[in-house]
Formats: sequence, C-alpha cells, structure tokens
Amino acid sequence: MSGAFMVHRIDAEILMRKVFHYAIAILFMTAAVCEAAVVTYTDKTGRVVTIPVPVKRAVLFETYELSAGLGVWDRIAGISRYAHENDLMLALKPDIAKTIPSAGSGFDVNIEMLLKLRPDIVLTWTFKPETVKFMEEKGLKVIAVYPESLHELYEVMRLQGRLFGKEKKVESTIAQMEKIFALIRGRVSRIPPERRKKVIWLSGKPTTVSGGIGVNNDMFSLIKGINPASTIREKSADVSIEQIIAWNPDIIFIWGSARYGAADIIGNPQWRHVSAAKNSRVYKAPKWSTWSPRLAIVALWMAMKTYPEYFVDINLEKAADDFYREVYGIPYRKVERIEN
Amino acid sequence: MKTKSPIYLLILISPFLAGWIAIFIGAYNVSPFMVLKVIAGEIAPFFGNPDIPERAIILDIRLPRVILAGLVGIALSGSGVTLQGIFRNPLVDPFILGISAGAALGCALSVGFFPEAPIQIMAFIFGTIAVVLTYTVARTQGEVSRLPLILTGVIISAFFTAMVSIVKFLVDPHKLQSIVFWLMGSFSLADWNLVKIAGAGIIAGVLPIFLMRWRLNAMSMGEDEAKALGVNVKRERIIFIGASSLAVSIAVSVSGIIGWVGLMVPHLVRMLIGPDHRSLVPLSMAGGAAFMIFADTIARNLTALDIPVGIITAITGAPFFIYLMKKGGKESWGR
Repeated sequence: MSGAFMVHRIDAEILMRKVFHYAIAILFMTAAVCEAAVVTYTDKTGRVVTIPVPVKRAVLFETYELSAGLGVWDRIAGISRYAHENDLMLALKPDIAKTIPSAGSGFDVNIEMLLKLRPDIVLTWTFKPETVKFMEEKGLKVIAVYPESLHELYEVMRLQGRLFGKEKKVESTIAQMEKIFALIRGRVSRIPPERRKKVIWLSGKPTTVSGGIGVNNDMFSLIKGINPASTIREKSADVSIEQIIAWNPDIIFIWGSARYGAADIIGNPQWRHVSAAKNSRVYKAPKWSTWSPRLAIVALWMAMKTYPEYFVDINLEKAADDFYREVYGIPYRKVERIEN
Repeated sequence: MKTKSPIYLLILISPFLAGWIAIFIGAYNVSPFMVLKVIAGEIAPFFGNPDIPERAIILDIRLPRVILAGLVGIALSGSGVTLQGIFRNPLVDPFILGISAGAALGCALSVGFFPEAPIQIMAFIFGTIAVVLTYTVARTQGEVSRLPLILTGVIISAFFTAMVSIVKFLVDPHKLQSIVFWLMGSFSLADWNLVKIAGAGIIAGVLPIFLMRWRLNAMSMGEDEAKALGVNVKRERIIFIGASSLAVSIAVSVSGIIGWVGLMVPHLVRMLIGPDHRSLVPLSMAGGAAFMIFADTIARNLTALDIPVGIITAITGAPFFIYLMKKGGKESWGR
C-alpha cells in the first residue's frame, strides 16, 4: 500500500517547541507568534515531503475539487488549466480564469509560470513522475498523489485539510460523504446475495470497462453491485463485446465524458442479449471527477439506479442539493446535473 | 504468364481459411458444434434459428469483425503493393502520402472540438485532404515525379502530425484518451454498419487497381520505359494514387491506423511469387486480408483483453521485416 498517510507533528518535539514559543510569547507579551507546524507526508512516489503549514501559496494541478469547498481561494496561487473549465470550480468561483492563473496541468507544467507564482507547495499526480522530479530540482516542494480507492481519496482530502489548516472542514465534508455512504450501505445490506445485480462501468469506448482497481470498483462494492470485470486487476481494460455478453451485466453505467450515450448501447443489435441493454438499464454518469467529494452523490445515484426498489423514498435531487449546500454552499442547480 | 503453382492457390484461399478459424475463437465460449449450427441455421432458415446469444456472437460480432479485418487488410496491402510499384520503392507504405496523419487529425478534431462530426467521416475527409495536398504541393515542382511526391508526403505527414499534437495538447485528458486509443487501430467496434461503409469504399478503391494491375508492371520499370511502352504515366499515376488513397482512407476511418500490413504483406508475397503485378496485386490483397484476420484473432484472444491490433501488426511486423531484409529482399526486388 503506497502513499501511507503520515502527517504527524513530531509529537514531543513539537510540543516542546510550542511550549517554548508560548513561554516566550507570554514573557514578552508579543501578539503574533508563528506556529512552526509542519506536515510530513509520504506521497505516492514514496518521497517524504515536509512543508511548514498552513500553506499560503499552493498550486493545485490535480485534485483541486478536493480544495474547492475549503474557502481558501486566496491561498490557491495557481491551478490546472482544466480547472478553468470545470463546472464545480466555475459555480464556486465564476471568475476563476481571471483570478487564479494556470501554470499548465498535470500533463504539461509551464515551469517559468509556476516559478513566477512562488508556490509553497505544488500538488500534482504521479502520472508523469519526471515532471515531479523536474519541479523538485527547481527548488519547489511537490506532493504527487493518485487516489486509487475511497480510502486514498480521504487521505488526500485530509492532507489538503492539514496543508490549508482546514482540518475541520475536511472532516465535516468526509462526514457528509459518509452520511450518504451510510445511507447506501444501510439499504443495500438488506439485499440478499442472490438478488445482487451485475454492474459494469464503461469508459472511453463501449468496450473499455473498469476493472478491479480504482474508485469505480470501490463504488460497486459499496452499492453491493457485482463487477464481473473486477477479475481484471487494472483500473480499466479493453475487452471484446463477446466478453461483455458473456458477463451479461444487469446494469451498465457509462462514463460522463464518453462520446456515446445510453441510446447507442440500447439501440445496438450487438448488445441485444445483454440484460442491461434488453431492459434499457443503461445510464450515463455526470462528467464529475471521481476525485471529488461529489463522488458520494454519484454513488447514491448508482445505487438508486441499480436497486431502485430499495430507495423509493429517496429523492436524489434533494439529497444532491443538501450535499452541495452543505459541502460547497451552493445549490445543486448551479452545477452540471445528472442526466437521467 | 507463369504457370500457377500450389502456392498461388494457397494464398488466394488463405483469407477464407483464416476467417473460418477466426469464427470459432472468441472470449464467449461457443462450442464448434454450436457455431456450425448457427451458420447452418442462417443458410437454411427453415430449420429454425432461434435468437440466442450465440447467434449474436457469431453473426453480429465475430462475422462482421472478420470481414472488416479482411477488407482493411485488402485495402492496406493492395494499396501498399500499388504505391510500391509506381514509386519503384519497396519501402513505401500506404501511409506515405500523409493519409494516416491526415486521418489522425480528423479524428483528433472530431474528438476534441466537433463532437457532432463522426470520427469516421472526419478521418476520411482529412485523410483525403492530406493526399490532395501532398499531390498539389508536389506538382509545384513541375511534373509530379517520384521523389518530390514521397518527400512532400513526409512533409505533409509531419505537418498534420504537429497539428494532431496541438489538438492533443489543447483538449482535456478525457478526450485525449479517446484520440490515443483511436490512433492505435482496432476492430473492437466492428459491426455490419462499418462493414457496409468499408465494403463499398474499399471495393471502389481496389477494383480499379485490380483491373489495371498489369499496367503496374510497365510503371514499375520506370517513367521512360513506361512511356516507351505507350503508358500515359501521369494519368495512370493519378488513377492509381487516387484509388489507393480512397481505399486506405476508408480503411483508416473504420479501424484507425494499423501499420506494417501494407509494407510487409506485399513484400512477403513478392518473395514467394516474384514481382509480376498481374499476380502480385491479387495475391497481396488476399495475403493482406488473411494476415489482418489472423492478427486480429490474436489481438482479441491472446489475453482476456482486446489488444489494439495495430500493436500486434507492429510487434510481428518489425522483426519479420528485418528477417526478410536479411534473407534477401534485394533479389526479389531485382535491383
């Protein structure tokens, strides 16, 4: 298990230092005392990064949706260029493209622009490890993440909470997510094993399925759906249509950014023997990132589509609206909505 | 004309053999008996042919996929042998005039900026634009001869590839993934619709080549010799290039970019039967079809995954080609 969460204030030492600081403060009656707290984090690449917190100038190339609800816009010095087009970011900060400059993205870092932003910390992903090394060589503190499960997602959320000194807000966001997950668990735990449904998640192509690793697969376990592709130990994999017919899923979810929709699957004669297509139980997810607290709403939606009979009293719109208001302080109608 | 040897016949029927085998293999477990039963039921429907999953697997998934692979193989290999003949260069492949780079740009634009324009149509349009551009630019040199045409093809390819890179850079990572997958070339989405499109376009492209194949012999001797033999070199070159471009653009539009086939198969066939285009052209087409069906069957059965066939052709192609070169590609080319 990589990326183990290791934020700790080196207890005794810090305590001593704190006591010492407070003593001096009291002694000289000075007002402002700098708290020399640090966050030490072992990131997904195995590097140990130590950063004084709270950070004042963060650049977020990835997982920016995790910081979106923290109310720390003034401390986000730079952001991925993709964040400028993200529905949640635009709903929360309509002028984001003008106020928070981009220094590229996790794919392409504009190093001069990045250095100009003078970041205390750069948060990116492990997708391009050479970029991480390059930024580090230029004297920047870099943390590389790549959450592959709900557990790891929480870990990165908590990291951001500590970086910005917003631990409480992060915990309350996680609590909101857990509330929804608890609702789902409570309902689906009543489902007898023989009535559990086979579900698959299709991405870029109708034959690209989510395998046994990753957040999508976690969501399937959570809603007690059986992912027949979980035997493939990959995040996603290309399989043949024959394989999907052999699996015969009851419900199909389509990735929000895919170029095809439910109608393309239901109307295609090649899929006519797939239970989900036969019974028109093919659904397209919203384009929301899975590295986001919004995942909770997607999970609820998936659970409701898979086992509607167990959720008859739940209003998705209402649940989503409550969640958005609680976590982000905006109504659900402000973001891109779930289609069906 | 040489006497027909058994190898002629073998190559000619090879696509049918490969196709027949491919129909029996796949991720969905269908017994050989069931395959025969479904096929028999389809040919003689009065025995009854219930719409069971096996029927969809055989008739709507494996069969169109095998036929599409065969058609694309015919297009790539047929165009390869044609272009190698008119450019008198065995290293020319069907993508030399910029079709693949153009088609890639069409795909990238469709995925990135014009989601309402289908990838296939955009790939075809831009593939054709690239060839026309290559030809037009080469003509600024006066009469279109071999070297300027190949050089221009390289330049236009480089330009279009750069444009693809710009699009890739600009679009978000989700869309990027679609472009990358398409560029790898695959038959994973083959259905009867694609077979119809590919069938019409590819036959329209390769039929003129097939009918005029004997003229390639004159063309491949060189411009002056061809003229001396009374061939209108300029006109026929346009016809051959146009016909191959049509076939290849259609092939690329339905399957993405699949390399090596157009280079490797004609080469192998040439080694087996010699450089006479009267038999080289049809046998290259047949060999291309067989090879493509074979490669695709491997691609979809090697693992539980559906590997892009372009990867298989490249992996088998490169070492095979090196072997051919060592073994004596020179003699068979005669120079």
